[in-house]
Amino acid sequence: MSDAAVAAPSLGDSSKTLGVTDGKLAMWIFLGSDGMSFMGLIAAYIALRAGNADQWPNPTQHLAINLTAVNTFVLICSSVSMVKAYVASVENDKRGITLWLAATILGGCIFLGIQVYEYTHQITAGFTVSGFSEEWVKNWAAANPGETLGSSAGLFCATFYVLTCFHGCHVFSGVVYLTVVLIGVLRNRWTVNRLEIVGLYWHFVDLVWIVIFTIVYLVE
Amino acid sequence: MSEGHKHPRYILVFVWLTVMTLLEVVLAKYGFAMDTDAWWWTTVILLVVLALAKAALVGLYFMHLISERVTFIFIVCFPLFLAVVLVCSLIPDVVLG
Repeated sequence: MSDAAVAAPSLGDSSKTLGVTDGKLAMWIFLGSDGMSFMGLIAAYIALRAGNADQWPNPTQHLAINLTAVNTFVLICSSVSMVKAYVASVENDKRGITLWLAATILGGCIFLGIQVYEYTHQITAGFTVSGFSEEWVKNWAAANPGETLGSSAGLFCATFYVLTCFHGCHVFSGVVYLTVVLIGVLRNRWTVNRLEIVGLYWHFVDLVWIVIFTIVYLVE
Repeated sequence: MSEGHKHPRYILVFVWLTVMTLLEVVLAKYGFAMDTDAWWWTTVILLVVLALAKAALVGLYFMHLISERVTFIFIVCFPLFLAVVLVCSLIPDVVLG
């Protein structure tokens, strides 16, 4: 048998094995590992809260639920504008991509702005990473007569800020990433694949917030 | 991907996400106000189901998982299974103190 007759074992076409491009697969791998980071924090929050259920402060009495619901809506809107930018890229509509990407960036900035406002308001009023100040407790007691605060306030504050701030950093990174892609679009350096990959990241940030909003803000 | 069909579906998904977010806020406000264990558990379970439904909508439609190959969906969803294992593995620690 000649050497030519011995066929090398086929490794397959890497771009078609899973039906996705390398860049998209790389983003999904990143999102998988990043998702595990979030789950580590969320699992820690659930474990700490369940282990101190009787002493855990009621989140609805300390957090701005309605404002955060608006923020959630803003993030959902920005996800829709992101997907519209992707559709515009499929249709080769540069103006559409530019407008929808700009709208997505604006949504991200509004989300961050509201989060900074929330943090500023809370921290100046005494709801800090290390716990509640005496002033905060006094105001809370006046608004909720006859109720006990719970001795796990320090844990509640720390886990709240770590989780939401970690997510906020992701939103900030997303805004920077989207801005870089938008600059690329303005310079005519864009592909549908690039728009889809940045979209995956942005939707992931939205998806994680949906879970955080429910677990941290809504469950009493 | 058949974009002609996908395009209007995004708006429908957006409407569902908005409605479910409103439902969550209302449910949390009135469900926990009942102040009984049964209502507390019912409200928590419903909130978690709504959150998972919203997350699934984002993953399936906005992240286009619905149009990917089944093998790929299994691969990217495997970390979710690990996440559930992670949370469940902490239950003995919480229960036993």
